[in-house]
Amino acid sequence: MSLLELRDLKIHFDTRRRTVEAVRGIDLTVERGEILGIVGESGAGKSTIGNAIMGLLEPPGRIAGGEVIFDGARLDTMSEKQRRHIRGARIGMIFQDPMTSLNPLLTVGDQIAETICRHSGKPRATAMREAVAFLGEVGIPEPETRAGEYPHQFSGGMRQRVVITLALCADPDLVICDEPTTALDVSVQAQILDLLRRLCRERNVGAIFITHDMGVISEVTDRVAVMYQGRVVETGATASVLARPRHAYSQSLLAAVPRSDVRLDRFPQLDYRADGEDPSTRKVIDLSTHWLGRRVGEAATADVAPLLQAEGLTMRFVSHHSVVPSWRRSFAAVRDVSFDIRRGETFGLVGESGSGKSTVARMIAGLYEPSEGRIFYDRTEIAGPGAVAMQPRTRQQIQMIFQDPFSSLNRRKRVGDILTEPIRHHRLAASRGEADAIAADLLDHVGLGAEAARAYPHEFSGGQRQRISIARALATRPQFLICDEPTSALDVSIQAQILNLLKNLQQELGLTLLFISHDLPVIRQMCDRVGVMRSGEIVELAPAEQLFKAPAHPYTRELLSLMPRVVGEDVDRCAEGRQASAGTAQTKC
Amino acid sequence: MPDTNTNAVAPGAVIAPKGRWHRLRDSDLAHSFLSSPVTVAAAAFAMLMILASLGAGLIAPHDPYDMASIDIFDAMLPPAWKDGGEAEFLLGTDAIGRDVLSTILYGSRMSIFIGVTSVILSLAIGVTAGLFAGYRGGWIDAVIMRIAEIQLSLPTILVALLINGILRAIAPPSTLDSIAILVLILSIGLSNWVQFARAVRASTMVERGQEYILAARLIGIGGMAIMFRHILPNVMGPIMVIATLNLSGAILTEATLSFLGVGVPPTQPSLGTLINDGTDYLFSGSWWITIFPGAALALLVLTVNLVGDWLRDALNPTLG
Repeated sequence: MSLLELRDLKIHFDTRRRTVEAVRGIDLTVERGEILGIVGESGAGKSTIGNAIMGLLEPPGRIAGGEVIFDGARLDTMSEKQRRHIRGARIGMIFQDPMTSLNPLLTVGDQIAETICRHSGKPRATAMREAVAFLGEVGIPEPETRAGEYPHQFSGGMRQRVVITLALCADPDLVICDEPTTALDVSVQAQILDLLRRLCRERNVGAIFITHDMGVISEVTDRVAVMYQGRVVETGATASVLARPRHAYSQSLLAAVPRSDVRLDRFPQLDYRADGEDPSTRKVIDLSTHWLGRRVGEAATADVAPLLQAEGLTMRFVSHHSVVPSWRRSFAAVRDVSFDIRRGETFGLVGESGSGKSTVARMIAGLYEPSEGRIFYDRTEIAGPGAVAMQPRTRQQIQMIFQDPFSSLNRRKRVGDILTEPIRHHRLAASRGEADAIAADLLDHVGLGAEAARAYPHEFSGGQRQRISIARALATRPQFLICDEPTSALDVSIQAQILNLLKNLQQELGLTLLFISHDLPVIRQMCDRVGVMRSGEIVELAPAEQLFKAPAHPYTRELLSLMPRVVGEDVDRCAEGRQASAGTAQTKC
Repeated sequence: MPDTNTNAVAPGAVIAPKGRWHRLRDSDLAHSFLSSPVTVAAAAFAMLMILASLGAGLIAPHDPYDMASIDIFDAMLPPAWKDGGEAEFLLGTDAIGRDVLSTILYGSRMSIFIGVTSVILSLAIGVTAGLFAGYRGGWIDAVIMRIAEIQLSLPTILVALLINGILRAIAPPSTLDSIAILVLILSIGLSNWVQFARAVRASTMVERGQEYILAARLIGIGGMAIMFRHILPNVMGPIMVIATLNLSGAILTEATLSFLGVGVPPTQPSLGTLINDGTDYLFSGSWWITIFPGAALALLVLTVNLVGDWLRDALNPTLG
């Protein structure tokens, strides 16, 4: 008998307008000691399954059909009271955000001890001793002292270890992990994945691992179920599904995962999604005749000097305000960073969260004033002691694409107005009608169609919004585009489309890109030269090929080794003939 | 959340242009409104009162300010259903023979006019102050918010009385009656801007960090345009809630000031002066002179408040 069995499970959300079928009849089993991965993109219904098993479906969500059988007992028909005994004691759950899963007012030790007490009835002192031992086991140094501390005193990774302890301390038979490492940096993620895998093995615990990340699936799971629009389209042993996906959706999903071993010219477009753009219909821009090619004032010069030069950039933020200058405290988010960006190239900045990459981007964009150092754009000093206020023409040439497609568009404005605003502000069109026509054309070029101008941002999905953001950035006819984690909020297949779009536009418009990401494979696919940042400094700066093949700095090597990889990356992933070179030597699998 | 992309429009799909009316009827706000009978009733009643007072000249049975039509022999008549009441005066008459129903209609017109204009004044001041404080920050924020806090530490009615007193002191005595309404609007308006400023400041500080504001700054759009064209439309929700809730407060403040005799002159009565007039006769048996205007005031304030409460809940999904 399986530990957990889902039979034809259907979950519906009744809304005012219609019933959303989030899960449309799935069959899954989990054995003891087995890790089952559920992978899929947002909206596929994977988290809903986890919540349904735990009985945590929020209304209006309901189980509309099928059975959830846990260790021989029906969970879905069980009373809330009975289910409470199973929840926590026999099924543990680990959520994405470790901060909100812990009570900030109780010490870590108290929270774990309380859980042990409640589920096993052991005396408080014993429970506390067990809690401390457990914290040691999950790799928290000095567990005796740390147990007396509060969640906010722990770092993100350490906090997730505490959450894992909390989920496993009652000795459950099954643990459901919902995107447990998505909020963590890659180096921390690797440790957490190792830990989870080891604990599940040692304690013979079954686990369901819900994630959108193929790398994570590949590292941790034994079997994988690929979900698409509420259905499981493919299940099987992880290695075989990743190496030889049978279903067209799994194939397109895997093809869209950026590879770290070879740089492809474009991501293979095997689009299974309905709202994907059809690459064949997108018009290619001819710069000599197109509006985007018209330059104000001078013609584009064939200058050999770098387009952008950053010299000794330092940015200090005040961390403690005071009237008395000597009492003020500040910390340096960026310390003495220098680099050049050549015309037409893509320069990458990679690093973990807090390494200062976004701060550098914002200094270049003119949103922050650097504390020290100078920035030259096209030989003009735009920030630093010798800089005058940024000229409208320079400002117009530097544009930015942001990370969050939901907050980067004004939700009260129509898409058309969002796009015509910069055009009209810089007087790049003679009339309102011409501006509208340009906006329609831009929408066409980013693959949305001119009709989109009449809609409001909330009518679009994340990927479509990111296309609108790109169109807005292009509307000032920029030469230099800063992309600050442009795809980290997007699904992997949408990411592939957006990155392809950026590459196409760069090629057609001769754009220079500063591309910022925490994702090494994405950097590999996009960038010509890469700077690796750690705690505000660039530790290594090298051409992308060299950086990935022969990293010089130990930190770069560490980052590269920790990067989760899809097993079978060397297998030709149904992208026949579209790779620049195939079968490059694998360093680690 | 399941299926976040259900609203997504396929590229190339023709988005059917919907009419404004259709969109309004289809919106979640309209749905929430129609599924709350109390709110619908309150809104209907408030609208009825506002329309009736606007059309006072047309629907009132008498013109209480036309001296020629007032007959002193009709004074102190009880409501029509009481002994001695006359059908002509449905809610009775006051001490000088004016029809109480008509005075209520004319009086609430004045009260609503003063309430609405003073709320608009507080809104204009408060929203501007809040936008500047929230967007610019620094010393501008410090100065504006300190003024706001000082004002908040005094009761609204006291601030209104104070401003009222100052304005009356500096105005030439001969003009006092003609500018009385303006003075009233200024004193109520200036005493209520703080709530708007605080709410707008808080929302502005949230919006300021949003990436669409950064994008607008990158395009080169100036601070004023960002504040009024980009941020303002996004903070309108809380502003509308406060404006509605403040409307009832402003009407009450007007009534209080008029009751105290520092409001509108007796020649142009409002609900407050009517209540004041009637209190002298309350214990001599002619209760209707003060009770009916009082009830009208209470109902108006109650219904406006109910609508405001609903609006607050409907626009704030976190309240559930």
